[in-house]
Amino acid sequence: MSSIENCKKTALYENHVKHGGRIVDFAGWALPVQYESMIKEHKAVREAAGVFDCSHMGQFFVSGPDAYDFVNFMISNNLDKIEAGRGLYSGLLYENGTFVDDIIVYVRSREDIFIVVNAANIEKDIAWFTEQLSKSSFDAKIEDRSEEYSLLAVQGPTAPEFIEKLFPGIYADLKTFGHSDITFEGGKGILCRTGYTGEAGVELIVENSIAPQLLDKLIEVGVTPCGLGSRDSLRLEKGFSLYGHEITDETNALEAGLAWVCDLSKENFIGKEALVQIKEAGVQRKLVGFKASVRPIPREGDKFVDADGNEIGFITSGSMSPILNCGIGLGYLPKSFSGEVVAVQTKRKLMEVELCSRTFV
Amino acid sequence: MKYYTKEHEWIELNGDVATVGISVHAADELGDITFVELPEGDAAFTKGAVFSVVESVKAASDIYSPVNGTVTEINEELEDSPELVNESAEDKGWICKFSGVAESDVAGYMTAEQYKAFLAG
Repeated sequence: MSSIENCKKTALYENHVKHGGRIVDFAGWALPVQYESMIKEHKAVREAAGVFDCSHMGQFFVSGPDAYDFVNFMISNNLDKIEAGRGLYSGLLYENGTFVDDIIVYVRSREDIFIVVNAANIEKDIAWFTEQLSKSSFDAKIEDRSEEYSLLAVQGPTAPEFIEKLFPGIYADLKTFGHSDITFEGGKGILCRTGYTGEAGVELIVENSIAPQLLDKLIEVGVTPCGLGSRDSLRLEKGFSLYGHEITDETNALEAGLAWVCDLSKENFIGKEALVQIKEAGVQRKLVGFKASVRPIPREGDKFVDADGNEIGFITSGSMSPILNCGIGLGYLPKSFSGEVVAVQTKRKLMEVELCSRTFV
Repeated sequence: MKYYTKEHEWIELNGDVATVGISVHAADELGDITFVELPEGDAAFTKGAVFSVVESVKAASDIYSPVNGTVTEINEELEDSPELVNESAEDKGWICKFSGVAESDVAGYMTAEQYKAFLAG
């Protein structure tokens, strides 16, 4: 495992080692895939509360008189849907309607906006924002401050109780995607009522200096430390897309089932023209959910096939569902496909899977 | 005698019967094991052939036969309790037994001590 030595470490690396996390290379970051058990950690989040280190994710800050208008031009969703103090999930699209990334934009004021982006896309995203800003007449400034911040996601039905203990009087007043400034042991941060597990909870974006104490405190009060393995199975059970899997620079927002984050009534945004044309022509394929009872279950890269064995689509994510105790997954099929079951050719066998809602749990 | 392969399998040879499983290290690396595909009884395998598949939450892994032999017994407990491989990889988590195994089949494999050094290296 010498490659781990070359990986970037978050401010919480020593905590993970101390708490027995099994460290793996996560897109260039040394992060725990699990502590004791992926299934136990998954269930802890569904039944109680767990905490994930997502410090590898990026934080951009946009400021200046045109910050709001610039960001709203860059994203597919519409900031006019929210007021200051809240956030919005959105696509960040290329002109052809495919994804640069999927992001959350938080509006502090019209002149002060911060954005959380996927870890693997930080460099690409900041280059994209900077390039578009320089080509425009918007009076704004964008800074990548990912290196200064840690992100702790505290998720689960009892997460609000733990958050209340550490940061009294904040959570209950926040709407979904609402955020509020916090302090902890002399450091600053932002508490956001968001997450990627489908459960209640928050994402705490804090200065690196206080992240280790904050994680230890959360564990001390009873929150289960969780690796990123269970974060993936948790998001998949809720049918949430993951960049690089369901959404890529080869999938457009409409076929990915993300029309709800594309406001085609907005005056203009990058990718709008292409999406309007795609909508008029009709999408060619659709993102579907499936359940598999045959083992081993289908995985990313396995193919959907027709009766003659010809490839008609592909699987973007596949995992065991610890809650349903069967295989679940997502993938693309032709829009015209109408069956209730579909054949899958995996590395090892030909099997049938049952198509179902993308929200599995 | 117990032997280990570089593919992280263990083999315990008693006479011409080899009991085979995956190592504690391999089970830890795979994480929660949710399914073990067992070979058919009486099936014959040559060294290097896939005789089992061990599936965890994250992925499925082929397990290669470390010996030439015929399956005489499978660990049926794994059908309902694949987690035995996590809990007791080198004891209750055995996968199957092969008979007709020649001692020369295991000649190139590591001892427990050598395997420990191999993992550390």
